Amino acid sequence: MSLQDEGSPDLGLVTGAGPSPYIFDGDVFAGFAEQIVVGTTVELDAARQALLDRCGPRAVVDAAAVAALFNAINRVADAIGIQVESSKFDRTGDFRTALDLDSFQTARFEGAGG
Amino acid sequence: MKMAVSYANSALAVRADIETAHKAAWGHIAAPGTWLDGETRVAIAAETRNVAACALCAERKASLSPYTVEGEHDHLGALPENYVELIHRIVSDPARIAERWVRSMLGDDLPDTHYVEIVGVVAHSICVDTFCDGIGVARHDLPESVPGEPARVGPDGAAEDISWLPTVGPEAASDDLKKIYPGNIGDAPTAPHVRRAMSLVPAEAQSFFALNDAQYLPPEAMWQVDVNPRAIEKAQVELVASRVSALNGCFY
Repeated sequence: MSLQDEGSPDLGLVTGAGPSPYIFDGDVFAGFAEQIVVGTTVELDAARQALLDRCGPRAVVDAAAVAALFNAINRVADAIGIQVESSKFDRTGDFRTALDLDSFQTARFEGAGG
Repeated sequence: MKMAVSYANSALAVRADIETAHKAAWGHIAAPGTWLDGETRVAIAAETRNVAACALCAERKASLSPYTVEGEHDHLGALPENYVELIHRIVSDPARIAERWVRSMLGDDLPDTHYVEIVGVVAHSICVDTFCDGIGVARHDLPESVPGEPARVGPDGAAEDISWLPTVGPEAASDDLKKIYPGNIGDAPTAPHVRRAMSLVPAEAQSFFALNDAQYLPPEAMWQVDVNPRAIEKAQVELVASRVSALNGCFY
């Protein structure tokens, strides 16, 4: 199961643009992740319940754990100003383009400065 | 009396490795660190929680540039102003942290070592608190600080080559630091830059990546397609990770 099908990345779930047929229950996972970061308590409660109803308690715990880790590690990366490894430059080109990631202020590639 | 970290009363059963990692994280925050004492470290965790109530941070977040909005943070009064500014910026608006701002923060009263240790404590507390919020339980009481002096010993071989602050690559890492650099696992790189990020203060890097291994994926699962210790699919793990990162504006 992958966001790529026949070489075309399907990134709607990452951007919040829409559902994907390639990630089972992707809508409730993405929705839960979103409300953890930006939602009110009420919105988060609803998103948690939606994930719980669809995928069960272990899924909620695993998803919360991942979301929490990334909520922290994102800040480590950007507070220290780490660069993305040059080895990743070529193989990430398609989805960087699809998501316009290179326009992020935090876009820093090894060897490119910044 | 402060309650110890426990998920015994959670409506959702929490994996034992997560509870163990969170108990360790709270102990790590409370103990004397490499450069900061336990009291300061717990105060950093408290200030991290306080950022949500800061009006200056809210105004800066809403502004075209955070660097044009001046004022005083709503803070708890336990830390120096520069520590408060650092904590509040990391928590409230990390995607707009600029190199020139980082360099303006560094100095005799905030050396790079202390900066990295503060980042480490902030990250530990956000990681545990966000998990509690996610599963719908009350955040744990912050720990009582442990008396004692910081170690005040830094690693050799740090260089400013892949980030704004010095890091220690695997070739220069001590045996302890090498533990966070996975090797001999398929074609895994030995030191992804995110693992190197806090290596100027090895204790922070080591402790934080224990959280990473329990909450995200341990190295053997990251680099081997058929290894998945989680109840959810790896694609679902990566979807959550990438959606959070997109919302936080984190390119890495």
